This record gives sequence, structure tokens and C-alpha cells, in this order.
Amino acid sequence: MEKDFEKELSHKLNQRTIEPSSNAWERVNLQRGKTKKRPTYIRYWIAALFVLGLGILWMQIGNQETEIPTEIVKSENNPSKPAQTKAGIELPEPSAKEQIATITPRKTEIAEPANTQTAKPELPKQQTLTLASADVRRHGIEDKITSTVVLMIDSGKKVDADDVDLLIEKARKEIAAGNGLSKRTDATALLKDSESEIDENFRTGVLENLFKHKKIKVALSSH
Amino acid sequence: MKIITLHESEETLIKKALKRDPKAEEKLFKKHAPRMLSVCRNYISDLHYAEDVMITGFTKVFDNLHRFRFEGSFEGWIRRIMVREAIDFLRSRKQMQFAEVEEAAFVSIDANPDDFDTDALQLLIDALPDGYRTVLVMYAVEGYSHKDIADMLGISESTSKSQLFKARKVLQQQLENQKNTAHGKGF
Repeated sequence: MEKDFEKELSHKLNQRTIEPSSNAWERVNLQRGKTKKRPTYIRYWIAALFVLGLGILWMQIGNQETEIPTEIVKSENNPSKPAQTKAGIELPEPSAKEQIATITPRKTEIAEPANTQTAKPELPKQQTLTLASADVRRHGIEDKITSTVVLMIDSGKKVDADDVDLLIEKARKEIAAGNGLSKRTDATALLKDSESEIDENFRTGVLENLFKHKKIKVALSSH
Repeated sequence: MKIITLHESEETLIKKALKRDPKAEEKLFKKHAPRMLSVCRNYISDLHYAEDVMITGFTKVFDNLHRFRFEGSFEGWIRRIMVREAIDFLRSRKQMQFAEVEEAAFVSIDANPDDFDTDALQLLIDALPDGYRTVLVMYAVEGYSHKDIADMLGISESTSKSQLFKARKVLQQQLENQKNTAHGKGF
């Protein structure tokens, strides 16, 4: 009897249908929409990030176009020494004389003491002036070096090659750490500065030599 | 003579629904929703909650349609989803409690279901505690074994049996009361 009861119960309940409310299908769609919207939002975010990335890339390409590619200024005195550098990435390991030469074009405050100490007839022997070494001219580092040099001059201490080496090494480390790179370099102006500096030094050296060697002077005058 | 097919087979509708055809999805819904709402109503006494559960169940049906392998009946597949959804609903509301019964003896129900209409039977079932009702419906209406019920509800088989025993006992009591009331009214 009990089995029959449950069988009949099952039959009656299984045959029963209850009509859902009129908006039931809309609610199903709504609920499904909620679960689908998440991936849609993710897609929008991905698209937005992609556009942003393209924008950044475009800006970087634009910046690169304005920069002058790596150029090498070579003196003819020592053609055997390789003078390749990467612009703005790594500083070469120049000799003490080279280091002095890279700093001298900066400002008069730096150039004058450096020249007084080291810009002698040997100065035209400077091997390379690269854009990479010129990057040391960055604003923050420049100020630090300037102030240090001024302090040294004020204290009456003579600036020798080791001091300059030390300063350059310090600046190089700061650049490597990413400091002072926000300011853009006008590579053309820098190159022109460097060339004029070389010309000037070369001219000075030639004239000094001319005055020292009277024979040449005579020869020139007789000519 | 040209024969125009007016009725799409369920398999065709499912295949269309798999391709996200909204019309096919709606047809499937409208075909199965009334029966599935009844399934949910068996477990949940409040019709509005039962409909909420059915809607959530259909959302899962369509989201997991690719898992249907066309091996059994589609209705049976949907039905299992609905039952699980209803159980989850009762669990989430902490309505289902399974009290152990010391003795699970045979209880006979001396009543004829034909004496009651479906609504009256539903009311009798609704009056049962959730644990009893769930096991009774799963066993007697859905045809699950005690092992399946134990697995689905996370209880032991003996608990399932004892819940069924209790459910029958309470149901018998209610039916007798109803009979007595009816006889009383007759005199």
C-alpha cells in the first residue's frame, strides 16, 4: 500500500506543471547577461590597454625620430682605438684625459678649472667625444658636479684628474640607476658644442706650438 | 506533396542553442520550464523562491549545454540540474537538517492518493521538515537510490533511510488526520 502511495504520489507530482511567470525568460537572459558581462568588460579593458600601449609606443617612436643617432667624433691622432658607444645607455670607460674632455664643454664653471688644470697641449689628443659621454650633461648630475667643483675651487684645492674621475664615476652610477634621465638631450647642439670645443682646443694647440717653434714661425712669415 | 516541418525536434533545438541561437534557447525554455518549476516546487514550498531556483537552474543549463552528450534524455539532464540547484538553495538557507532516527522501521501509509488532488498532496509534503521532504521527494518522486541521495546531500545512507522513515510516518499521521476530518465533516 505504501509503495502504491509513493508511486501514485510520484506520478501525480511528475505530471504536474506550473506555469512560470511571464517574465521568467527575460530573467534567465538577464541572469545569463550578468555572467557574460564580466568577460565583455575584460575585453574592453584589454582593448583599452592595447590602445594605451600603442599610444605609448607611438610616442616613443616619435621621440626616437627627433634624437640624432649615435655618432662618433674621432680625432685622427689615434685611429686604432675603437670609439663605438651606445647613445645614452652606457658610458664608455674613458681615460682620465677623455673624461676631462667630456666634462669641459658643459659650463664655464666646470670648463675653466678643468682647462686650467688639464687643458694643455696634450688636450687635442682626446680620442672620442660621444653622445653617450655627453649624456652626463643631464640636469641634476650636472648641478651636483658643478657645485662640487666650485666647492673644491673655493677651498683652494686643485682639481686633478682623479677628482674628475671620481665625479664622473659618481655621475655614471646615478645615470645607471635611472636618475637624471628625464631631461631630453639636444644632440645636435651637443655635437656642435663638442666640435667647436675640439676646434678651439686644436687651434689653441696649433698657435701655442707655432709660438714655441720659431722656425716654423719664420717659415710661415717668410712664406 | 511538399511537407513543411512545423515542429523542430529537440535535438535540432539543442544544436541551435549550442550555437547561441536565442530563439532555440527560448523554445527549449518554454518547453521545459513548467515541468522544471514543478520539480523545484517539490523541494521549495515558496513558489517565488522555487521560480528563482528554476531560473538559476536554466542559466546553468544554457551555460553548460556543451556538456550534454545526447546520451540520455534532455529533460532528465535538466531535471538533475534543477534538483541540485534546489538542494543548494535549501543548504544556503540552512533549512535542511537531518536528525538521526534510532529505528528506521517499515511504515505503511494507509491512504489512497486519488483521494487527494495534487495541490493537497503538495501541501502535505510542504508540511514536512525540509530534511524529510527532500529525501522523500528524491526517493519517491525522482527515483534516486539511498546511495545517490547520501552522495548528493552529503549524508550517510542510514541517515537517508531514517529520514525517509520519518517522512513516511509524519505523512501517514497527516493523512489520517485529513481522513478523520473529512469523515467528521461527512457526518
